[in-house]
Amino acid sequence: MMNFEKIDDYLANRLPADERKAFEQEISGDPALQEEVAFQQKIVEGVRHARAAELKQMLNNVPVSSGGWSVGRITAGVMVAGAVATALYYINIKEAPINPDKDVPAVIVQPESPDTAPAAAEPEVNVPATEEPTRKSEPAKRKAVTPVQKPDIQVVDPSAELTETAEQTDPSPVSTTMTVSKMEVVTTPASKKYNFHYQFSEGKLMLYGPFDNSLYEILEINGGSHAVFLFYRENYFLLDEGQHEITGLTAIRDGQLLMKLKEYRNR
Amino acid sequence: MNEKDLFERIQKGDEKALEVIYKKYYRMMTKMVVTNSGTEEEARDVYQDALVVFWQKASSGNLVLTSKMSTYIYSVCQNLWRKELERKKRLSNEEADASESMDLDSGEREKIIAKCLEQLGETCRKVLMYYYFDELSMQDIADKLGFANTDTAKTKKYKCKQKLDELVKAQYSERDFLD
Repeated sequence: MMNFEKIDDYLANRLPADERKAFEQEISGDPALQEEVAFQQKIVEGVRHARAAELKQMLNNVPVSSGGWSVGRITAGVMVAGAVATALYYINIKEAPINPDKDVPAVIVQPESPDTAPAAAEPEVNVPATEEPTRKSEPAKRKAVTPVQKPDIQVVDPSAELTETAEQTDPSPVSTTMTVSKMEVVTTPASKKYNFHYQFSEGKLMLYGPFDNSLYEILEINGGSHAVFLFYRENYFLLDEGQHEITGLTAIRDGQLLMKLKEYRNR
Repeated sequence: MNEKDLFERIQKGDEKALEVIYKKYYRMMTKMVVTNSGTEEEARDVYQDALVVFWQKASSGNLVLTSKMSTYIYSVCQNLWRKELERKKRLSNEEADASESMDLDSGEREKIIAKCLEQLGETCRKVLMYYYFDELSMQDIADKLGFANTDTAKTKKYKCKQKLDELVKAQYSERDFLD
């Protein structure tokens, strides 16, 4: 085997810049070496690919319910995808707020750990160049393709939901912390009889309808009283926890309530 | 655990630290994709890919953080998602993608190499992955895998790579699909 160490260092990105350049020149003038490097490179890429896949698998096995979105529960073989549980604390949704000088009820949302809040972390528009592993498999002819218009990505300020505590300078009489909804949700695909229905059964929320096709959120609101709402396709639905019969879902139309719900959901 | 500690652990190839970060920013990062016409599954996929990129850069020592980790990861997510949206758009514009057969080949090759890696056994697999992907130093590899010193790690890496080459070559001659 020729130059094993050199080729290996080269492919493992462990050659100093000047040696790297010199070696590249050597390769370009030596077809046999070129072939060997190409072969080794494929192996190294294979190893890298396997490692990336392994890391991804590792992350996939990490439960994320404590972080925010609660996803992927498997109940009776039904994959509950897209379940999002958000718990919000508030005082009372309909009654006048406790602080009359504020137009919203006093709320303290304390996400994750406060010291991690990226203070006003404005995502850079000039994003650092990244070389994601998938790049190599992209079609080589890509450059020849007429450039498509760049999809416009709407920036979500990642700090928005984490800086909440910082902005809340006014100490509220009710000090609560945000917890994640522990509510278990089971979805059942729409049947003729139950195509957009719900019930509470054995402490679980059962949803009947096309819920695995798009995202839904369960807003659990605690505080002076407890209420559960479903957010689905831009509509809000009240979920009565005392409802043990399968009941149809009707979107909330009360403008005032909707405004409040929107406010909480966007926190 | 603060940012700095977490980042230092990542640089040393501590996977537990990556899991901590994964959980911590899950909602923040997936939200960006979901609010930009992605499904939650796509969001998770993009976020995981972004973290793998972040991990590789950090563990190989090629990442000097000039911003918060979350800001960096967020921008990687944005880039990846933008690319994915472009790819989707391109696919809907041209019905047949000429690159598909090429992708199949590299996918096949990757499968074979993954299989060979499995055959090598746990230690060899790890040594090679840490060496080529995580690009950890020989010292970190020795520490992580409990080798006596960097020389042991070097020898191990050399032998494992030779073995992998042999296995892959045997596969290639059997299948005869090396370009």
